[in-house]
Amino acid sequence: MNASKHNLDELLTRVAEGRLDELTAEQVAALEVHLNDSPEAAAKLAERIPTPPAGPLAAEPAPPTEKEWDAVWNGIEAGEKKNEGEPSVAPDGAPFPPSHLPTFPQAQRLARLWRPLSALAACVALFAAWHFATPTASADLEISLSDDVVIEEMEIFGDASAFVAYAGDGSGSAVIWILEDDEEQTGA
Amino acid sequence: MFDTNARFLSRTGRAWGLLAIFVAAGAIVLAAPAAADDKDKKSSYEVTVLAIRATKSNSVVSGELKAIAAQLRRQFKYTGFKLERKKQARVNQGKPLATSLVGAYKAKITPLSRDGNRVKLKIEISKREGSKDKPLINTTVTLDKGKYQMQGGWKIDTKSGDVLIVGVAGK
Repeated sequence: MNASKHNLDELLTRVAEGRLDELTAEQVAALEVHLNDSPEAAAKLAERIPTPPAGPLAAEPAPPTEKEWDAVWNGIEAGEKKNEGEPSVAPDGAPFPPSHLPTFPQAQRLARLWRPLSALAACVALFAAWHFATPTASADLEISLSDDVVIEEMEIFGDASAFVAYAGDGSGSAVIWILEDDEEQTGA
Repeated sequence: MFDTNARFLSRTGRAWGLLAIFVAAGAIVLAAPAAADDKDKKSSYEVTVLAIRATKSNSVVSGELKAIAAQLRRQFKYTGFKLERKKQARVNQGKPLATSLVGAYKAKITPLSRDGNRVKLKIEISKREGSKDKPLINTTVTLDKGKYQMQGGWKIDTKSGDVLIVGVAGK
């Protein structure tokens, strides 16, 4: 019993030191049984196994500082005030002098104007593509017999003869079948 | 910083402008030939000719013919239908589309008229013998636009007994 306990302790030491590859399958099974039977031994083993150091991804980022928050809020307020026609505010909270404010109405008007224009052009292009597009090939690939064939004229040359076979399914599709002179009977 | 913003706005505006010009130009380029093509379609016919090998030695049916295989089998003793050749071309009224079929067989299809959903075609099948084309059958048929009329029975291979079926459509 003591020898067995000594053995288990040695195995637990190997596990704690990370030398798992030195254990045989039987030893792993024996250890598992022992740890399941003895929560005390399992807790002791857990204490002996060092927890891996937290990686860089596990570290929580530092929260923003008070100053950074102020800068963000100032930026938001500056945007709101700009829309109301009030002087803009720098990130540090100080208002900019009016002379520093951007005055490029043409550029702004262009930016405003070209978007709807380009959207309109895209709509025109889509409409043109839809209107003038040729039908898809799928319609051409589908082969179907005409339900209503009218044979206006038929002229057969040589010694051949011909007969017209109708589908017999109620449709008017007709097949012209040629019987060559050496042929006894081809059609149904 | 504001100079940069203004430059950005100006560049953005220019970029949108260029995009709009490209799109509009593209639409014109696409629309112009399509419009011309539409005009051509009204004055010409799209004629399609199929050369089909019908056989009793197998029951293989070409993918394109699956929809009509049941009808053909019902009418004739053949079990396999192979699409050997498909010729499609646009021709003017009264002008023939001439094409070879299988072996020495040839077809000449002439669109004669169009009325609503119907089209009238003249179909001439011939066989090359020596230096001459020997006519086999001339027919004039009126049928639904884009749908096929079949005629056949000419032996392609005397040993196997395979025969030629010709399908013709116009629109």
